[in-house]
Amino acid sequence: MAHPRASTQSQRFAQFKLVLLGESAVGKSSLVLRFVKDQFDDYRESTIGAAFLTQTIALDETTTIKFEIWDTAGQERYKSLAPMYYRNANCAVVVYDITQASSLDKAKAWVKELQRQANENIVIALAGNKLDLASPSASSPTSKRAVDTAEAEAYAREAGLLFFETSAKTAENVKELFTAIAKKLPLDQQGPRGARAGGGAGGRGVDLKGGSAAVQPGCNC
Amino acid sequence: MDPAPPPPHRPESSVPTEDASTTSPPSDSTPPSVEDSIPPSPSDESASSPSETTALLSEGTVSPPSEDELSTPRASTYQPTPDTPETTETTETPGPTDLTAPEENYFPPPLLPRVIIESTTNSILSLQNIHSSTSSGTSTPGLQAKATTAISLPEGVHAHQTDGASSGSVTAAPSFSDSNSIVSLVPTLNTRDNDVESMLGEILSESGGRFSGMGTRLAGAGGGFGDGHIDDEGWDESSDEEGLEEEALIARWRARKKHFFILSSAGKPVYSRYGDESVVSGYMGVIQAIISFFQDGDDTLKSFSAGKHRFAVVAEGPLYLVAISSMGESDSQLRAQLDALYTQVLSTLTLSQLNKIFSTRENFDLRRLLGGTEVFLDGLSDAMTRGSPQILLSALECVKMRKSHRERINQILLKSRSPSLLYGLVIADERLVSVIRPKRHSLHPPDLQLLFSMLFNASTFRDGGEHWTPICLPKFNNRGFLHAYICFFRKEVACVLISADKDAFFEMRSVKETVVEQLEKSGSVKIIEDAVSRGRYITTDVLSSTVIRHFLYKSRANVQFTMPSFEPHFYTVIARRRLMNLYQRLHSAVHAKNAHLKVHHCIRSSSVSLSWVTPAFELYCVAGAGADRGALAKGATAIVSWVKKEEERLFVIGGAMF
Ligand SMILES: Nc1nc2c(ncn2[C@@H]2O[C@H](COP(=O)(O)OP(=O)(O)OP(=O)(O)O)[C@@H](O)[C@H]2O)c(=O)[nH]1
Ligand SMILES: [Mg+2]
Repeated sequence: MAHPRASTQSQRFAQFKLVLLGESAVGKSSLVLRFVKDQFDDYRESTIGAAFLTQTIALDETTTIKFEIWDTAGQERYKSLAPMYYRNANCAVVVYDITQASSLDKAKAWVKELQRQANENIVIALAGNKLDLASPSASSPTSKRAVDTAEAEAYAREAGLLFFETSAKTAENVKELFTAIAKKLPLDQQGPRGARAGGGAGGRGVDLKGGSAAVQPGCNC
Repeated sequence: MDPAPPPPHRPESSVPTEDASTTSPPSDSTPPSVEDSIPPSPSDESASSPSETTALLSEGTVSPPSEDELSTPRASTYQPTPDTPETTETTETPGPTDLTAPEENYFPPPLLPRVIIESTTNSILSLQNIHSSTSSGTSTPGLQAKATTAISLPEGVHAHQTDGASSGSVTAAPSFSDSNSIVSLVPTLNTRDNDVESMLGEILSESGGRFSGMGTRLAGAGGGFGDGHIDDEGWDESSDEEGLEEEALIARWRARKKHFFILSSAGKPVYSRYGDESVVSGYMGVIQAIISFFQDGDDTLKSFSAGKHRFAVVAEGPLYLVAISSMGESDSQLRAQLDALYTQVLSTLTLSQLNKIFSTRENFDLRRLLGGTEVFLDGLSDAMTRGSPQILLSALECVKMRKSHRERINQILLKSRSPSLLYGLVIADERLVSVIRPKRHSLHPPDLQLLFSMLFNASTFRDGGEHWTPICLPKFNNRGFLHAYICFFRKEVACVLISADKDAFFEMRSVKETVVEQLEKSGSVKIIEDAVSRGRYITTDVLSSTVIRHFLYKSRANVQFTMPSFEPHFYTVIARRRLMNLYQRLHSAVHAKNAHLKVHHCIRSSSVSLSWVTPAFELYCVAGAGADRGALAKGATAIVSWVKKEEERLFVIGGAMF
């Protein structure tokens, strides 16, 4: 944290594009809100189109990571817009709701699509959200869990994904999720390495090029 | 409930005498002068909404993009219409076809006969007596942009036709619009043989209506003064509902005053403001049965009454929209409300998609594709139930500010714009601050109302974050999507940047950053925020001493309106609702067909009000019970001259163009 920026080469700043995908109401926006503002709404309106947010985290003493986050809408009608958000993404969080088995199927479909269509080095994390609902509570004496941790974890391992069960409501594992992603992103080399935004995709893929993902030495902007 | 209004022809029923600007009575088609010309031609009623829309902030017509799918990559294909004049804001548009491709008219062909079913028995719902009247071929559901005004004289209403500058107070003969229509024979539904009665009866009783009060008073577009039930209970909070929390009050109003339904022409529920699915889908089936019954007979059901409930039906392509209201709106007002809901649906899907879906799958459950937009439909429904001056007048409201301040904001927007920007707006507190647009492209009030409603009647966009969403602005082009960058950079202040390019997010984002930075630097943000926190002016700011408690003033040329704050007299939800209800009736009376009403007094046990319509403006003023009408007229005149003086602060005139 807060380090003298004078510290030359060892000070690293990197910017990455992250996209959230998953069925409607699994808690994508809630996860982002928790991550970015450390807040939670019991009632959230469904995302319309997509929302764009940024969050900067300090990975370690010398490394600052800025996420540019696309929180996409899970509603069916926006399906065809998804490529424009994931095409340049360096990382993706595919979210399902542990209380809805069908949402994992949907998540798997997203993973498949990402592995086929997105940047080939994309880092994908699978997040089973609403973990708080797994433990019995006053309102629900039995667990509402519908997806076994082991099952989802096995799938994630097989597909080469990071895996977390999270709760946007209690904040459990939210920071951990994003930090794990950040750690897995390639930081070691400088230059436009993380910047697959400009390269690779080409054609229409460069469209949402705005902030390019670039590792910039010594820049703290 | 308002049985004893003052008799007509009371001696003191004078008219505003001071102002000379009223024109000769019968002709609203007096050619407008250059300065205050109004766009719609009275002879063009069926196209009234588009023709008025062009007047707003714009003069051009639109030749829209032909983009259809969300996934369509490129959008900058909207072509300018070559022969669009670029002068003042008065261009007449010929009709709806200039807005859309001819084969996909926004509105259906103008042949829908109006059907009025009046309940004339005390039965819960009698469909036995159906008077079907073929009205003059108008089918435009929305937006009363008509230049025609009309007369309707229920009890207690005095109409005066002013003659030029004179104060001549001729009381016009009663003329109930729609009563001149032909009663034709329409097959009668046998209520005994099916469930129609009982099912609709459930709706009605659920909504607390009693069906003994006859619907006859609601017959006719202008006859809206019959229902005194609502606002004669008293003007402000002092009613039996006092003590309930505001929200509970709203809930009660809603529950018993109004329902909105949208269903597919196959009878599948698409939207309902109230009631859960299992209940609602039964009603939907019944409504569909009734509507298609008429269609089978090559007739179109447009509205009918059952007890004190008015049913208005709009059939738009594969959708039926139904409003059920006991709030006394006229049919055309209800249809304008339905049209606003329809616009909301189209904004999510486009008309092309809508048609395509239902042409391949008649039984499609459209809710699947509207998921997440219920909040907008709900927000809009509730706003219309509270009473929406915007929708009533089909006009926009602006934040009042100095001309130089607004111009500075315009300049900032103009200077910051980027190549793919189509429209740029700053909106505060559901009112327009500034707008920029290309010379060739109009902005249409219904499209802007849609945007305003989505921004302010739901919380989706109000999180301070940045949003990028496809949106169809149906009056601009109902076949394709534009893309909107939406950011509330202050709690009540939003920047909306619209592009035809779906990939322009970061471009729009940097435009916004420049705009906000410049607005801050120039002190404009503070000016806007101050204006918002100050709220609207109050009536006594305009007139230091007056009997007038509230007014609505619509500038027809600008398609904008202004009004004072609802405080102090109409602060509560109930009081405001009553006021809006009164405005609805006043509006309906002066907009009824076939009459040329210029000035209209309405005396009720709880209020005295005045409507005044000229080619340049519509003014509705409300004073407390027993107010002297001379004083009211004087106040009205003073408001008109005040507005004239303040015009450039109250309205966005022309808008900034590039
Ligand atoms: N109990 C619990 N509820 C959650 C959690 N995360 C989200 N929710 C709730 O789930 C609902 C949907 O959350 P959103 O964040 O809007 O879901 P979304 O995935 O963004 O949905 P779309 O925008 O429609 O794609 C909201 O009512 C949240 O309050 C969680 O971790 N625990
Ligand atoms: Mg969301």
